[in-house]
Formats: sequence, C-alpha cells, structure tokens
Amino acid sequence: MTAQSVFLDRRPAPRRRRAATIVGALALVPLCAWPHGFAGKRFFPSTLAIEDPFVNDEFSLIVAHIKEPGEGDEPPTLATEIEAEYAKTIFPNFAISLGGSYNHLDPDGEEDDRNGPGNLEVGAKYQVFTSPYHEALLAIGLEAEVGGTGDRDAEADEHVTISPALFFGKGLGDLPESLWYVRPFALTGFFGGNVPTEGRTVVLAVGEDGEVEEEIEDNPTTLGWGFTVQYNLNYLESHVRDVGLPAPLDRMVPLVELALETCISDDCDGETAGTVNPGIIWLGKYIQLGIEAQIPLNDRTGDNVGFLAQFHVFVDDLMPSSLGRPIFGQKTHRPSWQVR
Amino acid sequence: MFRHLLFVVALWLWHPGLWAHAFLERAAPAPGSVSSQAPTEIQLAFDSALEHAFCGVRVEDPSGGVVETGEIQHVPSDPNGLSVSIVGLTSGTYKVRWSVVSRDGHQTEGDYRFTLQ
Repeated sequence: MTAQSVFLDRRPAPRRRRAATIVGALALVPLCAWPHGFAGKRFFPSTLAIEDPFVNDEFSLIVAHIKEPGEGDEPPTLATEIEAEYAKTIFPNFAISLGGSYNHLDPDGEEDDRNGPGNLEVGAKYQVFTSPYHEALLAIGLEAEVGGTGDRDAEADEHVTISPALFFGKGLGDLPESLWYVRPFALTGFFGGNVPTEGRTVVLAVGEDGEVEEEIEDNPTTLGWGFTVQYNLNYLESHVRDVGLPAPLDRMVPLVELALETCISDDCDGETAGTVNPGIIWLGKYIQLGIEAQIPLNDRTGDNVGFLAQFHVFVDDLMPSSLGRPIFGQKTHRPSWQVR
Repeated sequence: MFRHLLFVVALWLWHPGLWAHAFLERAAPAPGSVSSQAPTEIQLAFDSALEHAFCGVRVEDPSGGVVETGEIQHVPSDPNGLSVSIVGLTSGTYKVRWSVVSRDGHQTEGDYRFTLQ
C-alpha cells in the first residue's frame, strides 16, 4: 500500500455507475446514524450461540444440528433446528424481536422422525450503556417463549418461559500500543435466567396397554450464561496494523463461544450443560455468514459434535431509510475523539 | 411486481459501493507502518461511498497535539475515498483519527498510528 496507489483500483466501471445512479435516486438525505454493533471503532458481529449486547435491525437465520443425549426412557436424538429471528429498533437504544423455529428430530431406534415448529419467542432489549472510547456495551433484555404455540411432537413446551438477561461487550482496542496484537480481541457475554411459569407439566399419553397414563414433567428453572472471545481481523487491518491480509481473510472474525445452562431447581441443582463452539464469521456489507462446531462440554450435553450455521442480514444497511431505522428518534453522534 | 422487487433487492446486493456503513479498506500511510519519508497527505479509502461534507480527519503528533491539515478533498475517481494534505511532520509516531458518514447516513469512525523515522 503506497501513498500513490491507494485509490487507483477503485474507479467504478460504467455498469456500476449506472447502478449507482438508479439506486442513488432512491436515497434520502443522510441522517447521521450509528450503525448496528458498534462501540466507537469496534464492530461487534452478531454471534451464533450467544445473544448480542446491542440492539439493531436484523434478520437472522441459524441452523443447528447436533445429536442430543438420551434422557430417561428417551433415546439419543439427532436434532436439526432452523431458527429465524427478526429484530426491529423502536427507539435508537430499544428493540423488539420475534423468533420462531422448525425442528426435525430423528430419535435412535425409532422409525418415524418428528417434525414441527417450535414455540414463538418474543423479546425486548435495551442498550443501556455504550462507551465508544473503551469499546464497551451493556444491554438488558427480556424474552418470552410462548408455550403452546409450537408442536409438542417437536419438543415445544406447553408453558411460557420468561428469560431476563444482562448482556455485555468489550473490545480491547484501548490497550497500550505495545500490546498491538491483543487489541483486535473482544469479549461478549450474557448472564440470565430461564423461569418457567409452571413448575410441572402433566402430559396424557396412551400406554402400551392402550390405557391413558399421566406423565409429569418437571420444568426446571435454569441460569443461562456464556461468553465469546473474538479476534477481528478487519479491526487488525484497519486500526492496528495493515499486515496485508487478502480478501476474504480481511473480513473474518475467528471466535470461540461458550454457551452454558445451569439448573437451579431443587431436583437438578447445579447441573450444567453446554457446548464450546469454535468457528468463524465473515462480515459482508449487508450480510454476515458464520459457521461453528458445537463441542459438548460434558455427558449431559452428549458426546457428539454438532454444528451451527448462520445467515445474517443487516436490515439497517439494506433498508436504511425504512425498515432499517428506528421508528422513533435517531441516534446522532460526534466522533468519540471530539467528545472525550 | 415480484420481478421489480427482485430487481431492486438484487441491485442493492450487487452494488458494493453505495450503501452500508463504511469500513476502512486502505490507507496511506498504512496502519502500523514505519517510514523514513514524511507523507504529504493522508489518503483513506473505504468500502462505501461517502458524504464528504460530514467526514473529518484529525492527525495527532507524538505528544497528542493536533497537526494542522488541509481541507478534506474528494477523490474524483473514487466516491469512497478522501484525502487531506499535511506538511512538516518530523520523526515520531502519529495517530490518524477519522470519522465518516456513508451515503446511507451511517457514521463510522476509527484511528490508527504510523511512525516516521
């Protein structure tokens, strides 16, 4: 990269100019808006297993595939879940979300697979704190899984589960220059509860002898917690040291996610299940793609490695003047170096 | 109607330089670079078209003082680029701070250092 050559290969081709003219005519006068997932110069990608510490306009599709361990009379099951979520900012720091899933379950030793939708999930999140200089974010959220809206055959619960949570994100870009190779690192995480509105669910089932039997399922209260460690190669190239990474490496974020759930009900107090997920995210202009392995941490999570795949759309970039902006209000900022 | 919608969506997705928040793609002097020749301008190239009227660049000397720079200049061949002239740099590590607004109104900012021997 030399002072003379930095712009030379950026001249738009004629076709590109025409497209710029057509789409440009649709553009409105710009209103300074802070885009999704930023704290100062730090961009936080949307992670696959751990909820993000910021609010945004986004559409996310996640495919999860893993063999779940057996429990009681139930055999191990190969589970595939396709989960979609749409989040919409109402105010600049407040968003609501609506999510749903479709599940495919293939239990060992059973001829028939089970398919069906999971329960609807509705949520709200408020981004409480943003420090551009320290690349720090803090958010609180509340999500509800609406029991009974999914298919019980596909393991959708009959009861409502309420999940309040605290989310955080911190980039290490404020470390001293001597630690330049550490500065592209960032951490995000969350800590929250999953509280069922009913402690037990009574299920009526037809037994082998043809008689109707009552089965009682416990609905434990659990703590959800986890964190991610990310290394943003785009941050390295743009804000720390241009090491000359070629595309698409210069848009990659290698990361490890740790997603855990600990039971706090009497009958399973302290039992923890979870996975550690090494993977990589590629950041595009309008979308990001991600893939991770799901490695069980203990027997309760099973002993088979699964995977997560993500297709994520930045709605605020795709439709910045309509769906991609808050309904009320607009964030306006001066650069962090002017407000320090 | 569906075809028109598909066309607009395809146009959005295809054209890489018009919408979306701006990430720094290239800079001269480069982030983290060490050079013995003093630059006469700072060049920044982003991955999105810019609203130059809302962009800013500040250069800080090794003691944190602000170095005088020229006005933001368009790069005629590149709506994604900007430059500012700069003179009189002596040896030391300088910090370049930038803040830009892309055509869709999204603001991004950043900084990096370079060293002059």
